[in-house]
Amino acid sequence: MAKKFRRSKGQGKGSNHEPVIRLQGLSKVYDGGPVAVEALKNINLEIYEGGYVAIMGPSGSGKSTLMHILGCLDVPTYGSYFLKGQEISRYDSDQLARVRNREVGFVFQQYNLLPRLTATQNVELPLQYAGVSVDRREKVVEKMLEMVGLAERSHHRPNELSGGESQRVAIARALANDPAILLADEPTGNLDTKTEEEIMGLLDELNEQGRTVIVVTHDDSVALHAKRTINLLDGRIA
Amino acid sequence: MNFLSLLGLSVVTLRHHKSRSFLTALGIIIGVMTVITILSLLEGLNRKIKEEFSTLGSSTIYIQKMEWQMGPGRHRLDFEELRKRPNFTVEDAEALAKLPSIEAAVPSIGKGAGTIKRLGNEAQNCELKGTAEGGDLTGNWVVEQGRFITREDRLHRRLVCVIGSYIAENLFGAENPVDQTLDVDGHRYLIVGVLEEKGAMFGNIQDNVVIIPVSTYLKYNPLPRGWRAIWGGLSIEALPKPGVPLEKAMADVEEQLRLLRGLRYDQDNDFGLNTQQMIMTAMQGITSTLWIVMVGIAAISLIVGGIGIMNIMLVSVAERTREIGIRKAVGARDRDIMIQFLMEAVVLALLGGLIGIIVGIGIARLVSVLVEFLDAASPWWTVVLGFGFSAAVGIFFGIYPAQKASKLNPIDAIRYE
Repeated sequence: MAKKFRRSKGQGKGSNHEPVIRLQGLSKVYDGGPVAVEALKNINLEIYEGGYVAIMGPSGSGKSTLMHILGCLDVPTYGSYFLKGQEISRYDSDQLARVRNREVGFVFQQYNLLPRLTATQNVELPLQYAGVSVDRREKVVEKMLEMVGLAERSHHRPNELSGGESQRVAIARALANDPAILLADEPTGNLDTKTEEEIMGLLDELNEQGRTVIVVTHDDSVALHAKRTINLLDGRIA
Repeated sequence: MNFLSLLGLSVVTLRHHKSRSFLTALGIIIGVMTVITILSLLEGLNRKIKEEFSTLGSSTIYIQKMEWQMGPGRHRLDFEELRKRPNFTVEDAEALAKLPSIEAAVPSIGKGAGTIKRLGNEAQNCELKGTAEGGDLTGNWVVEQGRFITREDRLHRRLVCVIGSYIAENLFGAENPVDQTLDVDGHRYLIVGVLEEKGAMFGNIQDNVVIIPVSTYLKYNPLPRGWRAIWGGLSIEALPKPGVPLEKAMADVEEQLRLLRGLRYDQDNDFGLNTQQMIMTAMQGITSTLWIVMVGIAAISLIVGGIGIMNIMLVSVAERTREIGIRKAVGARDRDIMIQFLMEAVVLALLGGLIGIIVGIGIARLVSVLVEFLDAASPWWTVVLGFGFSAAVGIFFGIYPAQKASKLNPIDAIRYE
């Protein structure tokens, strides 16, 4: 069933050797306070299509900052970020919005659903910003909610959904525009063990279908699902 | 996001904060309401003024000792000089009547009549007017029955009169007053004609008039002397020939009068030429001044309303920082966020404008019902103006908060608590 949602587009530039994500000398400095904080220091990293990567590290290690940069929610201070061969770190805000919309799907620990919208409307959001027609939107949203197993809850608002259900809606939303990469920042941080297994099972399934999945976690049991683990310590890859 | 879904989003958001939205729109409501009410009333007033003046002979030139003083720019009057100005005579009127551009020029004098009696009945507060043949033309009167004053009446100082419809109705009822008699200030006059009804001008009845030959008038009523003569003396009413422009006729009259009085080129006129047009212009000057004042007040309340909108939109942006972050995270561009918030401000302002237009027209209608001589008119352009102003206010005061929302950094916005 879920096969339908595999990315059908070829890899960028048609080369199998070009990683989907490539970071070169990436640094992030927060210069807001009296002391500049270097959250990320000279990160070099390559992630290939179909990869399943867990980014681990204690709090303050910079794993969330790295995730935000990968998700184009934040920009690096130095260094380059190539996504499918394109240098994202040079993009302007409109181009970054387009990348967030179509190339990466982001799942947050706090779900970050819009409280006044129903599950359907939340999933529809990225499709609206992509300019997808109403008819097509309806079909895609229906498929997405079916895929995450929430077809019957489609007209409920976030406050009527459990944590697990909310996170499923968030995953459906992240995948609505069929992005190459799914980024999940502590996706099970607010969930109990049983629900955690369900959500991680869903991510496993998505990876099996060929999607690149990157998970930030400090939980070993979550990291065990991944094929590769990257440990961060004080802003460096350990 | 397309226009309709943004519009829907704005309406949903505003409905979520019903009372807040209403209070915010109140400034716009009051502003637009004021504009619409005032414009409707002024438009009605202007139409009324035009209508009322059409009952007078609008092109008649009133030749008097001094010019009517109206509106701003009045200069100080030299009463001593005015007092010394020569009186007009019947001969002056006859000379002016011979001008090729003049249809009729008649002497005219008037006062409040004491009592008017007919058998046992009396009429009060009537006006006695002395004039000559042609006075029906210059005074814009239409004779309904009988005839107007003639040259013979004037030359022989006949005790004849023409009465207004109000007197005819009140003293004679259904009878025909022609060939009956009327006692005015102790003299018995033969009624030779009845005038058609003119109606009221600004609440003044014009039909309670008794018109007699000017010679008869002067026989029983001495000419006022001293400063009273400035206004109470004989004046001349002149009507230009059809097709002759008023300015041309006035220039001819002025030249002829200067000639008659032997004024040198360096001497000022010792008479004044007045027209209804002057009153109308002055009236319109007053209404346009009112217009400017009211529009100024309305503009201020629109600005205040706009600031209210800006304020509440800034609050809204702060409250919804997280929503903005989420929207950006799923792909909203700066301009999508900008348009979303701008749309909200404009919808809010337009809703205020709509309510203001409805209430404003309602108030104008109500005033028309309550005030007899005012007929409010709300031309279509006032509605367009109301909507235009509110949209402009929404856009102008919505831009800053919308800009602020659109420039938020997505990750900071998402983390905002």
